[in-house]
Formats: sequence, C-alpha cells, structure tokens
Amino acid sequence: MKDKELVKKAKSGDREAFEQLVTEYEKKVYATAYRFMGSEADAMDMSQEVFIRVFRFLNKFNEESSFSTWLYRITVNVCKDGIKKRSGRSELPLEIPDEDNDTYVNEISDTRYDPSELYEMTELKREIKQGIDALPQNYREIIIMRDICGLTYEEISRSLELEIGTVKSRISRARERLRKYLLQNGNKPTAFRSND
Amino acid sequence: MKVCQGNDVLISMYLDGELEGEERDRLVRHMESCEACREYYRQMCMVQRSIGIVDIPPGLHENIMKSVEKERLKGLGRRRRKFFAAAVAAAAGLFLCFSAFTGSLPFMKQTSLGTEQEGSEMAELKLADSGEGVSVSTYDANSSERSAGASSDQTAMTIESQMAWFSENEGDMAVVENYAEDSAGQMENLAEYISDSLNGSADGFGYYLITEGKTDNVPESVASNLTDIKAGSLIFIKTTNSLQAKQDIYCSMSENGFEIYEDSEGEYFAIDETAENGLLIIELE
Repeated sequence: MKDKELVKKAKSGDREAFEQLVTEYEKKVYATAYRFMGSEADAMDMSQEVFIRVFRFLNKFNEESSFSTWLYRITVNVCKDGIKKRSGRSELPLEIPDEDNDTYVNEISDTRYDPSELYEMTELKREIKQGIDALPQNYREIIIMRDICGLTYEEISRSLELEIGTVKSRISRARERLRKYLLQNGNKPTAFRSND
Repeated sequence: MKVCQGNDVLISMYLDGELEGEERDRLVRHMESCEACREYYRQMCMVQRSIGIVDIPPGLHENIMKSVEKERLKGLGRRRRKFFAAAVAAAAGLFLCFSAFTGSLPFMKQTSLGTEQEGSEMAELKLADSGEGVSVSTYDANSSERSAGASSDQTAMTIESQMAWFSENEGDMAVVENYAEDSAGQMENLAEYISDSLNGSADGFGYYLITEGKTDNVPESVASNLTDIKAGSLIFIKTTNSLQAKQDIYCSMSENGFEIYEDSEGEYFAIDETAENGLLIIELE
C-alpha cells in the first residue's frame, strides 16, 4: 500500500497501517540515527523517539512534503537534540573546517568483529564507521541526510538553511574526507585501493 | 593520480543525480578518457554505498512498537482523567463541589489552594518574585478586564485570555496557580491545546517552547526564585527570540529533567521569527 494511503489510515487510528509505516522506514531511521550517534544503544533510543513523535504529530502532517521527507526531518532533528543533550550545552553549528586540516578527532568506535563475515566487508564497515564518527558534525549531518535519508539538495538546502552551492560543496568535501580517511589507514580494503 | 580540478564537486553531483544536461554529458565524456576521474568516481560510489551499510539490531521493530504503544496509552490516560473530571463536575453541577472531592479522587491534581476554588472564582494570575531586572505586574482574574462574553459561571481561565493579557502588559513573567488541565476541560494534550490557542492570539511572540516538569527543577538561568510556585501551575516567561536563546533555554530545561514539547518536525513552535520576543511555557507537575 502506498504511503499516502497508509498515512491516511494511520491518521484515522488504524494501528496496522501505522505499524506498516514503521516497518517500511524503521531500518533507514535506525541507520540514520546510528550514523549520527555512533552507538547502537543511542541509535535505538533515537529511533523509538522518532516514531513516538510520528505517532504524536501525524495528525499535524499536512502532506505538503512526502511522508518520507517529513519523517527524515524528524529523524535528523531528534538526533541533533540527542547529540545536544548528550554533550551538554548547546553548540552552534560548527564552522566549516580548514580544508588543509587533516587532523581527525578519533572518537571511540564500536569495533565488533563478526568472523562469519567476509574480512573485507567487516573492515570496510569498521573503517566507514570510524571515518563518519571522525567527521565534524556539519559534514556528518549533511552526508547522512543525502546518503541515508535520500533527501535532495533542495530539501537539504531548505532544511539546513544553506545555499544550494554550499550544500553541493559540503557534500563533496564530506565524501572526500571519508575517502581520504579510508585511504590513509593501514588496512586498505580492496575496494579503496587506488593509484593515489 | 588526482582527480581533475573542479571535477570533485561535479562527480559528487553526478552521483546524486543532480547534474543535468550538457554539464552531465561533458563529465561523462571526460571520464571515459580520464582514468583519475574515473577512479575517483568509483571510490565515491563505494563511499556512498558504504554509508548505508548498517547492521540492524534484533528487536528494533518490537522496541519501537512498544514505545509507541506506551505513548498511545499515555494519551488515553489523559482523556480518561478529563472525562471523569468532567463527569464529576457535571454531576456535582458546580465547580464549588470539585474541591470537596479532590481528597477522594487520587488521579486528580492536588493543589494547596484547592479550597479557594469556590463558586465562580478563577485561578488567580500572579507573578513570582522574578529577581533583579525583570519587570512584573499583576492581573486580577476577577476584574472586568476578562474577555467579553465570559460568564460569571466560567470557572476556567483560558490560555487565550492569559496570553492576551501577557502580550499586552509589560511583565516578563506570569504564573497561573491551580492550573489543572482537567478543570480547563478543553484539550487532552497540553502542547496541542496551547499551540491551537496561541496561533493567532500571541502577537509579538516569535516562538514558544512548552515544557513540563518538577517545580524545584526550574534552572536559575531560566527564572530565579520560583521555588514557591505550587505544583499544577503554569508559568509564562518572555525570552529573547534568537537562535542562541532558544538553544540555551532548550538545553537548560532538558538538562534539568523537563520534558519538552515540540512541533512535528522537532522545531520550536513558531509564529513570526522576526518578532523580538519568544515565550517559554512551563507546566509544573
């Protein structure tokens, strides 16, 4: 059933329809939260909070945007609130870092290793996580909105109140940082070996 | 080999389907003959795909549905209390009888001034000692300044009339004691109620943030000398309408254990972001 119909039914109290919406989007919501928060436990908390808000405010969803856009905006805001609460005082949006500054903040990351998975995939996952955790928040946020939530540049521009040009360059720089991070580390997964 | 200058952003846009027409065709033709750019594109594809590879923990769906169900039951609980309170008030016939029953109805809000709610008396709007630098003024709920059409039997001060007074006067803070959601008898959800009441009636306010929490947890940075305010009261505090002020208040309240109601997109309810003032509304449990 399409989102529009599910939303309409959920708004009128159909619990099954609401649950179907949850099933459809929970993985992406979780993935977004995980990339923001860097921990499974926090990502689980954020995911629950997102759907609580969806439940609470679904009747106020005016369908000007698609349900998925509305949902991912809630997700990003919940995660940003979560980060704020976790780190104490509010932080103003970080300045765009100096392009030549390659010093990464190396946060503790979750280094689970599942022996049953292919070595390459496991290593890649771990490196990606460390790389994303090391990104400044404004880069992390934009790359998550684009590559997990699937928001368009226009939607990101409106959501973050940035010029489109800034969105384009920031996404590119965030990806470049991740690429460099992956190439810099000792373990270079085959996928990233290059002629650099 | 490095990617050709300027192509890093273009390749990123191409990856996102945001490059169109001649610009896209030009890039595609270029990559056919440039190994460095082609390799860069390949690596960017990997980066993009990898970001989405996240292990989903077992129990995610169940945990989410449990939380939502809890939320649903919370909402039902409020409606039941409201219904019961309205039924009691209707059966008793007079607001005078309400206070006589408060001792035997454990789920109704107890207030120390409950015995003052007799006949058509309304909760008195008064101002706490707000400390240095904050101007205060008083409002007599029984005065003729009440909105036209309010009957002498009306026992609940509406949020609208409070807000209208607050906007018009010079005070920075107002306290309504004995505010009880049930006795207001109007809405099951405080945030929704205030939001609906405020829209269009709170001129001059650029945003409002609604919070709920314990009396003695209100941080001093937000409002000083509020320890005497009784549970069940509503406090309205004028604030500066700026991003920094909003964020500071948000953090102060949430750090002190207050639950914060926000709109559906996690933003602060907003009316007019060019206004000078914002508003913090606190319901004390």
